[in-house]
Amino acid sequence: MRRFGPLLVVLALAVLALLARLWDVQVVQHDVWVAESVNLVRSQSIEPYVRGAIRDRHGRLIAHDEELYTLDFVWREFRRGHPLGQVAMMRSLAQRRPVGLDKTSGDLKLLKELAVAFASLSPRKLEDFGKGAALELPGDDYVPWIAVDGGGDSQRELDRKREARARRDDRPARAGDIGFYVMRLLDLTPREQREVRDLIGKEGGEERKFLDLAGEATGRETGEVEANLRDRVGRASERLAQLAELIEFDDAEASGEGSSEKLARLVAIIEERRREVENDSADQLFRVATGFSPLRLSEDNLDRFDLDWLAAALDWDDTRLEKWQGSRAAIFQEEALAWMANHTIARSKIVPGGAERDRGPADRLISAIAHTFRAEPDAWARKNAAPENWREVAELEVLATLHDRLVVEGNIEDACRAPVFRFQSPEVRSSPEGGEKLLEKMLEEVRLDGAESVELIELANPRRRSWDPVRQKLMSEALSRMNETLQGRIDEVLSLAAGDGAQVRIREEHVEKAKETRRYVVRDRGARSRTIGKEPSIDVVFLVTRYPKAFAGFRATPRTKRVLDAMGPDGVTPLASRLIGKVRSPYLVDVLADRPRLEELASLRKRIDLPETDRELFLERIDDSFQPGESVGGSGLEAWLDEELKGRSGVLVKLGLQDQGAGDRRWIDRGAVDGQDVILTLDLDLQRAAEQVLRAPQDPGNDPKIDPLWYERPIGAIVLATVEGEILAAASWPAEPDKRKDFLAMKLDGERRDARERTLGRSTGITPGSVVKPLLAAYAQEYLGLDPISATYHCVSGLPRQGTFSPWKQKDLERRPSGWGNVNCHSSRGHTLDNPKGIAMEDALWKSCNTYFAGLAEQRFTGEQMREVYHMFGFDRPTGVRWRSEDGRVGIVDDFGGGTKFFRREGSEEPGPIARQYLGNGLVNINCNPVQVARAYAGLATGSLPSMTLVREASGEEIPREAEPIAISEGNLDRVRKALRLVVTRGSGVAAGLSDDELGFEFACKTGSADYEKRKIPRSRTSDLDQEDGWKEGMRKHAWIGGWFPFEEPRYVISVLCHDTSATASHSAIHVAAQFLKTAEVKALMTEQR
Amino acid sequence: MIQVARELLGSVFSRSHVRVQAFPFGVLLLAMVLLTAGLVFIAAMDASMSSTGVRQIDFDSHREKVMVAIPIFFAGLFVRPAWLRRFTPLIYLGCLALLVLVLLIGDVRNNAQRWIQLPRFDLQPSELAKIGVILMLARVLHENPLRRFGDWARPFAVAAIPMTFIVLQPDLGTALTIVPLTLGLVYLAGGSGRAILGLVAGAALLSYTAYDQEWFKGYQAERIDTWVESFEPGDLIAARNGPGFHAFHARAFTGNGGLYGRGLGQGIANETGLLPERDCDSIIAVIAEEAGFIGTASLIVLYGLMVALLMIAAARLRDRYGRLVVGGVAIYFGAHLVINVSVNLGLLPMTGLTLPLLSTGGSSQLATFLALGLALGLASHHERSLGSDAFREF
Repeated sequence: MRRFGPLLVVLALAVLALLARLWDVQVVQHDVWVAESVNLVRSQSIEPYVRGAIRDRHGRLIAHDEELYTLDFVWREFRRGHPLGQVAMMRSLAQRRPVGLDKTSGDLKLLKELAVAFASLSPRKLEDFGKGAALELPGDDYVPWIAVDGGGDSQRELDRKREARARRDDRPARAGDIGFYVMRLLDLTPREQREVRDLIGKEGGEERKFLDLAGEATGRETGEVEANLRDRVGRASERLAQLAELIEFDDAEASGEGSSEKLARLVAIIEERRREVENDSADQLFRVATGFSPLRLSEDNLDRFDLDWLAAALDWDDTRLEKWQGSRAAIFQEEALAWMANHTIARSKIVPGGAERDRGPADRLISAIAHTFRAEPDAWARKNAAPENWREVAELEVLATLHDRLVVEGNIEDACRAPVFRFQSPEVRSSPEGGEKLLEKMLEEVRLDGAESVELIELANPRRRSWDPVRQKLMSEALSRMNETLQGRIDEVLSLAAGDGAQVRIREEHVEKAKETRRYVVRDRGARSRTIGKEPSIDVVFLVTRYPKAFAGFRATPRTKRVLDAMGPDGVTPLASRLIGKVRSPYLVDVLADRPRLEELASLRKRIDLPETDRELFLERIDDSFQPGESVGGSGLEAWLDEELKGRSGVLVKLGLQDQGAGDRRWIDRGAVDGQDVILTLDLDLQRAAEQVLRAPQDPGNDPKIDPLWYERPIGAIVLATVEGEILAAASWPAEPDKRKDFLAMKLDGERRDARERTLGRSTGITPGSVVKPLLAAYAQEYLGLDPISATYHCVSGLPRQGTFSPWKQKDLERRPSGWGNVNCHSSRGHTLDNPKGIAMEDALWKSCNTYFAGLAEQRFTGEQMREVYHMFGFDRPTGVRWRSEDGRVGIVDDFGGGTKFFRREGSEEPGPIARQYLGNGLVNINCNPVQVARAYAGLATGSLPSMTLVREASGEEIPREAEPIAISEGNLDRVRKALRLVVTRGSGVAAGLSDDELGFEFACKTGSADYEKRKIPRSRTSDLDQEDGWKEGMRKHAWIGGWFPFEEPRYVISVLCHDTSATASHSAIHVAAQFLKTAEVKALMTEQR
Repeated sequence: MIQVARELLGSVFSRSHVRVQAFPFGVLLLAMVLLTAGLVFIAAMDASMSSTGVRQIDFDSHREKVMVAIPIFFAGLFVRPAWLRRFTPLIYLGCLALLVLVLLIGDVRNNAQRWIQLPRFDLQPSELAKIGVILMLARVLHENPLRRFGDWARPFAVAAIPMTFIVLQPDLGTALTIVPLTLGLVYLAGGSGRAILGLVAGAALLSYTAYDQEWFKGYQAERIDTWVESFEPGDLIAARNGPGFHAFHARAFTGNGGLYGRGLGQGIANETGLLPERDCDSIIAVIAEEAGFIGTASLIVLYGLMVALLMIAAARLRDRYGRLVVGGVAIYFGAHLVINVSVNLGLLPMTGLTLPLLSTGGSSQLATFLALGLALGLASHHERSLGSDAFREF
């Protein structure tokens, strides 16, 4: 026992040491390893929500999310599960070079022959192949014995040499892999595979063909197994052809192709995906070995590397390696450069927090550029949204790792650390000089115009979330040239490392590390899906989902797509496209700014157990983050109602292997909540009718004063609403930008090149003109003592004009046109030539006498009273369509023009008499949009000013509507209303066809025209607009009409705006209104029960 | 013919030398407990993988091999001690022959030539060689006073020859298990403890120098590098997809077990199948994950107790040869326990070594059952004549 005692003590100590370490790993480090283990089986899936639909007031779809699919391809699944992939893979393994699918797929006979040949191998033959023996395959696939040079060597020595060569060629592993694929090719169940393995273990089993073994394992004759195999390969080939036939290839030339050509195209796509997998794998292995991506290098740089190890790791020959090397620089130019430029621009827009908050745009831009070239940019970006201050960026990618990764003969560290770019220079870093100068010099250094730095700096504006392609190209160019500079330095370093022209070798340990990851990388890259068809037909989706085994490698991945259901009158442009708006992908700048939050999410996800608060935080982060493929409201109502329309993604975090029945312990399981539908007040039929009228306004034929130019290139808006404020139609034209550059286009004001929403937005000042006259008249009666009968004004040409006028008007007035003060009346003779009493309110309204209202405004109104009347009818305040605007919603503008100096009470003086003359005719200081005019007329017609709305119901609740009483007596309003009825019965409405008979209801309205700009106008309605002499100097106008119907019981209001027309409203807007009001859709509206 | 066979068997085996009174039932009981535990965990692995459709661990195969190994246990149990001592050199030479044979005709897998393919299973001669070394060292040492240099050289030569062949395969892990066997038996045979400690210290210094001077090459150097760099969790996690793959998964699943474990068959190691050699070299990681610290520590303590009981049984033996063989077998089990568990816990570089009685592996089981049978047989044998002990010629 004397000798055993110490041994027992040693044993006890050893056991105690093991227990201590076990405690350390299992208890002390438990949390770390739990997280790591759980991550091996944790799978997270995000269930996308369906965005709510937008519907019209009858519930008809305007926009909705349609569930579609993409056809994705996974190379790894194809090569493991599809007979064609299996045969191609076995050929590649046998030949030790990639054998494309295209070499097999076209020849079914050869394919079957090869499949049978592989299945006819025996385990022994494969084992011998692993030791250097020949592999007896038909034709060119025959793999010969490994030849060894051994004159005089014994057979045993020759065999040893051959086996050594075979090991170097990785033959044993290849033989094993071929065995794996043979079993897959024979389509054996796990039980049958086990049976085959048992049979192989029995005496003589290794000598038997796999076909034979499979036959015994499945209880069939060998011949039957072979026939089944041939049949399976044949069917797989047929199915692939069937799939190819159903796929709609993108390019037009494919449509006329036959079945075999289509199959060839599908095979070519699969081949392309395979090459991509290989290229990606090579990129990653290179990155593991060197620490940087090969895309960072020029072709010359990459050629300098000794990459035999990479070729060997991927079973590539020299040609394939050269192809990869040659393709990397091209990939950089074609794809990576634009990606890099966009990311640089987006990063420059992210304003850092804390002490760096005041970093200027130039500094932000240089910091973003520095980030693009810095070492380990991802590590920084994972933790910080904004790029690091350029003054702190020390090392550049590639150069930071070269000296550590290469086998170096001399000293390259100094060359690697020396500044490459100006921003790295110690003097520049410590200089207080701003970024503007530095950027200018940086551009000059890369042979670009320094002055363009101004253009680039504008990119860093954080408010602009998108940018134009021209500036993006400029950024690409700058980055490309900077990259060339960096590559020049890399070339110098490589020359220093290995001597001129010699190849540089990566250190063995790093190469070994890369080789160790080979299997993982190839598996990972091969398992990534790649889209090969964006919107496959339902037949394709059915095939690949119903028969996953037969179509191994192909997947139909569900996704959603926003579909605009209601088409405009042209059948191409979506209805109310600018008003409804679009969804879009999140802005890149938002995605980048979101990155640290995603890291937080990732770290939360790694934890096995989350307390309730962290669990909520996890879900909150999911909700706040952009999910892949998620769309957000980009413009119009889609953006405005994003909060209601968007739903909440479902989250399923599972502990367990998703693809293998086991596990399924759910950690977080929250179902998706779809977005809610929104019901608009718009009526599809009325909207379409309104757009049709604007798209193709009909020349009334009986009006010599129409503007043929406007009819040729119409532009304007129509609003139809209920008197309670529900907008039924809000049509704007043009719906698409008019890009024509013909003779006519040169005569236009350029507005037609912009397809904007014009019922609420304005790009130019738009004054309402005479449509405000009734409002002034009503107010003047109520508050200013205007007697509608006795108070008259004289409107006669040839007489000295009354009122105040400015000196510059003096010369003009020598012609003595009718008018008041500075304001001319549109009637050349005047409205009171035959009436010595002058014109009273009623006539002044239906005749739209400018003299009356200029005089009324100058003599009776003060500036404040002017403001009051315009305020009363809503011209200085929002229309109400921006429902819940306090939430910071975007997408809908309501350009109500309340910001003019007049309303802001700015300026040294209140409006003087001349200004009041113009204000009385709606010609200055007031800007409005068509919805405002409609609202004002609703107020006039009902005595109550409604809040306008486009949304009837959101989040399942009706939107409350508000109305404000007009503080004018019903009697005074009624007198004005009756005068406006006369516009239709006696005024310009008669000729325009607005009679009760023609419309089917009583209509009342007021026209208005406001000068817009002096420009060439058509000489007459019949002049040749393509000839210069068809034009003359004249005034372009905005022409308006505002009205309501039925006259006695107002239900609806309408406003029409004709932009950029030389005709007055009585010869433009009134015809448009008449055409619209006579449509079947409006007639149907009138029969509608309320 | 039958008579000749019976006589031949009778000359080799006997039941009479196994005395029930002296039989170390405690060792047998613990061995059965450990074997049962191994069977249970392998069965759970099989069931767990079966449910995922990827059947990699085959309980039936393991059970068959255990059934085949049981007669080997009894053969070892009933072999005549005298016969064993007499034919030890032949057994040793037979083991050496197999080691040479494997270098000539062995099957190459994963760049190592360790297996001789037989009709039903692949024989790994290095496993049997360990038993051969134990027997031969006992034979050499039982009459060796260990006074002169030559006395010391003989046992080390006995160990060095098979070690060399095993290193050539290459199988450094198995080769290194012979070191504690040799040192332990030399100590038991009366070797100076200080001298042995000096040797151990020298070997440690040499190993460090070899590592520092980069004498290790290829995968061995890489394993040591990985071990050195990945003792801390953070480093190992960083190396998980590279050379640290096996060590990472072994450590992760062990740590995942926590205090109480995830339950039989509920481990992620089984669920994913990601842990290499989880039924064999890394079975302790699976046990740790599913049985937790309490279960695993209990198992290790039981294993240590079995080794201790074997040593105690050996210490009681008067027969010096038998004492050395039983002690050698105890060291054999102890060394496997310490090395295997240390490797999986990151205390030693990753190397392929089974945990006898728990792991699968045909050759390992044969060697284990044979060693156990021999140890139990010899431990229950009573040498009557004290005078004929140490230096008696057979």
